Amino acid sequence: MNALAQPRKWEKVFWPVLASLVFLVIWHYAVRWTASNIFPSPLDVEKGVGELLGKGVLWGYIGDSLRRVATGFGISLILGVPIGLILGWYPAAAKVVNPTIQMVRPISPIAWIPLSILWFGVGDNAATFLIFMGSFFPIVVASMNGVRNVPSMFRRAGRNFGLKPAQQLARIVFPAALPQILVGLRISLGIAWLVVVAAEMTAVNSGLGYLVLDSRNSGKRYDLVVAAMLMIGVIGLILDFGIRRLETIKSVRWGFRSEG
Amino acid sequence: MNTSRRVFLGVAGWTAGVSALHGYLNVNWTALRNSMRSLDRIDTLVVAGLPVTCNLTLPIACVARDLDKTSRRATFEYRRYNGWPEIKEALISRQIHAAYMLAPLVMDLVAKDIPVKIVSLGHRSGAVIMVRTDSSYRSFRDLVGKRIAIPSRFAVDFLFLRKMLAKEGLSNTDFEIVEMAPPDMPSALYARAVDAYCTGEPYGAAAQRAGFAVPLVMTRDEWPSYICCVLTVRQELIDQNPALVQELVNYIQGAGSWLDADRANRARASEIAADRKYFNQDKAIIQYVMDNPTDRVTYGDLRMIRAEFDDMMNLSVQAGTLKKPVPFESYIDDRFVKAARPARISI
Repeated sequence: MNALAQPRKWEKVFWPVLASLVFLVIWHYAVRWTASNIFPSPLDVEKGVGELLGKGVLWGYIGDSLRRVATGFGISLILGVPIGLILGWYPAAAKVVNPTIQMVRPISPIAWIPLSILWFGVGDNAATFLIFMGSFFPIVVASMNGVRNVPSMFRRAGRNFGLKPAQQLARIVFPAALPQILVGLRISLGIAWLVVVAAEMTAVNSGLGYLVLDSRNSGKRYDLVVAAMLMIGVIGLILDFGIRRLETIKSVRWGFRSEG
Repeated sequence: MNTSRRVFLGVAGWTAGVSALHGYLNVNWTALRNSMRSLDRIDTLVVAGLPVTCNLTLPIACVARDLDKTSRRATFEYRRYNGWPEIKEALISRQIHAAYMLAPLVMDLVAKDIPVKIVSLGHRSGAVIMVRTDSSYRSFRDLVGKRIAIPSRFAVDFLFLRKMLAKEGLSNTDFEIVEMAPPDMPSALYARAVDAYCTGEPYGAAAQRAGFAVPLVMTRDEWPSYICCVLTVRQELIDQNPALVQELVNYIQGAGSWLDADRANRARASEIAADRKYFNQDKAIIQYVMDNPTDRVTYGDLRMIRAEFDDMMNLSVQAGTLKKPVPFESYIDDRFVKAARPARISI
């Protein structure tokens, strides 16, 4: 193996698939050898997924979780990017608001559950709020830093061309900050999807997070717990892959100054 | 001495220092040694429970046992857990060998070959269905189509709700049932996120005492022999240390009789249970449960009656929480209750 070597096309699929198979085999035999009567083997998990598909609830659960994450993340995006841009543009405002942001940011979404139920009742709104609380701050911080890191040369060039501040923000600063904003979006989407289990502790009755919690409550259904975890992982992978594809769009690539 | 050696010594010294401090301040070496002994030689038996009034006999039994310096058997240590799944997992994975559990959950575990047995009841009654004081709901018919919160489909509170609904010719499908952690229920009712909730005490009394909720119906009136929390023990403990299990049952039965003997005992119990080591709750709320009315929860009759357990088992099968009937002998070991000599509680 050579650190500089480019993987061949078939290798990009072959190695991950092989690694997954090896992992499954190790998992299966680990369960067998320890004779655990709780931890499910891959076959138990597969049967659990089959059971959910048979009952017709699996796609509904996946859809409901994705919907909540899309709403929460969408609101974070719509509010977070402009707020981050403004805070980056006006450093004085950032100095005032930053301590609050840094204080609220580390609070785990689970800690917000009692308040979210009080403010939003039970169900989707409370869950969406928790997802919003998890995903809002990375977007704000990334947008803020993206604006701050725009070379002053760009801003001066814009001023020389007679652009007003609003036009500068829209036509120079935002595109230049876009790579960093996208990194923030990627982190934020990851957190939003991660928070889904906590968010679905707000008395909802569907979703992958709900599946984890409910299976845990119901006697010994750890096969469904692990099945839900696997599905959360796979969907997280797909979401991350999707958002990384955004980075390949031409107008976004403009902001990546390190390449030609 | 060169820099890298100094750094190495610094890091090593720091790690050793912090570890020693941690070992001195945080690690309970007695408990650690105890957990490595076999069950017939332990000094302390950890018994897990939730901070609910259904489990009140447990802190009383622990305190009373501590005061008895004559017995040479293990003492009991109360360990507070905050949810049934955590207790269930700790029991399954042998981290604890005794706990208060929900009876249907024990039946389900036994059906799935987990070797546990119910050896005593913990209480009777103590569940309520609460509605807002300013609401117009006076019967379940008024609540049709509304949202009712329950702790879990596996909680006996759900069976209580179903029983009440069946009495009026209704079923839980006529309502929107949501599952919620009991501590969140009072504020959910206050915020009108739910229209009613069904749970065990003190989560009914918490809202009632705050003035915004009133019981629609109580097990005290409708189902006074209601059982939910039962003392469950792993089979290994029964096999390796039956004398200790007998002593535990003696103290639980003694605590039950003591609690029902005198209201002053209930007041003393509220004081003990409120402590941070036990329930860590407001003493006034626990006392409110004890007083309003005085038999809201009862602890005196802790007999294990086959017909009652079969009834609960059948209700669970009907509710869909048990897949198939579980025989009484497979999850109950009643020799300890039959041979019980209730301990004298002098707290």
